[in-house]
Amino acid sequence: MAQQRGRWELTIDARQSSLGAVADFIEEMCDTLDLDEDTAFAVRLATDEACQNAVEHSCHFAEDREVTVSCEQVGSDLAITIRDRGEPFDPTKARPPRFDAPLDERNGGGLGIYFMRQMMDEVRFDRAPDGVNSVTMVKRGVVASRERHPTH
Amino acid sequence: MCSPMYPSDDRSVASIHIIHVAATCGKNIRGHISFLYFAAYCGIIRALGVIGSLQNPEHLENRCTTHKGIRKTPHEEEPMETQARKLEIVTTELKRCDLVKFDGRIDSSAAPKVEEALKAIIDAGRYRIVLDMSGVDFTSSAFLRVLIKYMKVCKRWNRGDVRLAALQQRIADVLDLAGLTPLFKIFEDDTLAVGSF
Repeated sequence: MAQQRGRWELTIDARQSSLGAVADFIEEMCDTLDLDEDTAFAVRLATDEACQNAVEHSCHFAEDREVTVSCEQVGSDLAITIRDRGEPFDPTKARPPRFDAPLDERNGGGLGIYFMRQMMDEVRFDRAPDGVNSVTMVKRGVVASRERHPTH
Repeated sequence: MCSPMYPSDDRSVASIHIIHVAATCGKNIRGHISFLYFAAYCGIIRALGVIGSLQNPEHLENRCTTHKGIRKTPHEEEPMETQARKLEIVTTELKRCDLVKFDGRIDSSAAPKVEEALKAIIDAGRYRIVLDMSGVDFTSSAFLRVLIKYMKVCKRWNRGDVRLAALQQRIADVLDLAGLTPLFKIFEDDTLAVGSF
């Protein structure tokens, strides 16, 4: 029996206000796949954080740059990939959040990648030779088998 | 006589209505000549309005986002909506503090709106703030950064605080995951939070 598959994609300008469209897109995809509420929240949060990083740190809010969000269902797994042609991003250089620091020494930095790793089963950062940054996040075993899922 | 109100971007409907009123007045006063002059005038105003809307950056932004939209496969015949769900923010100035009630989703695109609301309170010289989060079902780290920033501003020189009320469980979990729970005073509802000042 062939695996159930589905693919969705959205491209936005690299601006803060466009992130609302990403949130709508992910919400609707979660509804379509009938994900449970906890999984849907995790996917929404991880995608919001990854897109915020792409728009802010990679594209520096340059409106002539684009960020593409692709979601792919393969069987019961869901993979979300965020691509842009902004500056290279090295996740190992990102400062981790400081949970034990007093309020005066905290600014919320580093929470984005931390949330992505906490919410998803796998997070990969890549830089292709053609200059495309990609972040791939996978959530495993979250899509229930149903006949009405798109197949191709 | 009351004149009808129109949204600023719906000038075409407005001008049609004005032409209808002008037609009625024209017949009663000087016949059709006055109507024709008035209709021509409305046409010019409408044309200027269309040019104005093309030059409006907000219109361009909306068109751009919608145009790119979503390439959804294999259901391309069922395009998804891309309009962001709005976050509603209502600020109420109370005797003890300011109560800010949110309703909707505080994603990264909405966090600047939250910052704007908190900044307005602080710019007015008030530093005791309660955030009623009962209507919020989603937040990201962008909102948490705003929270931390304004918490610091309000607590400076012991002049105030930012206190949270009525957190939904998932929002409380996000706050906990970020290690922020010990830094905030969190209350079951807004009455208790306001009373704590």
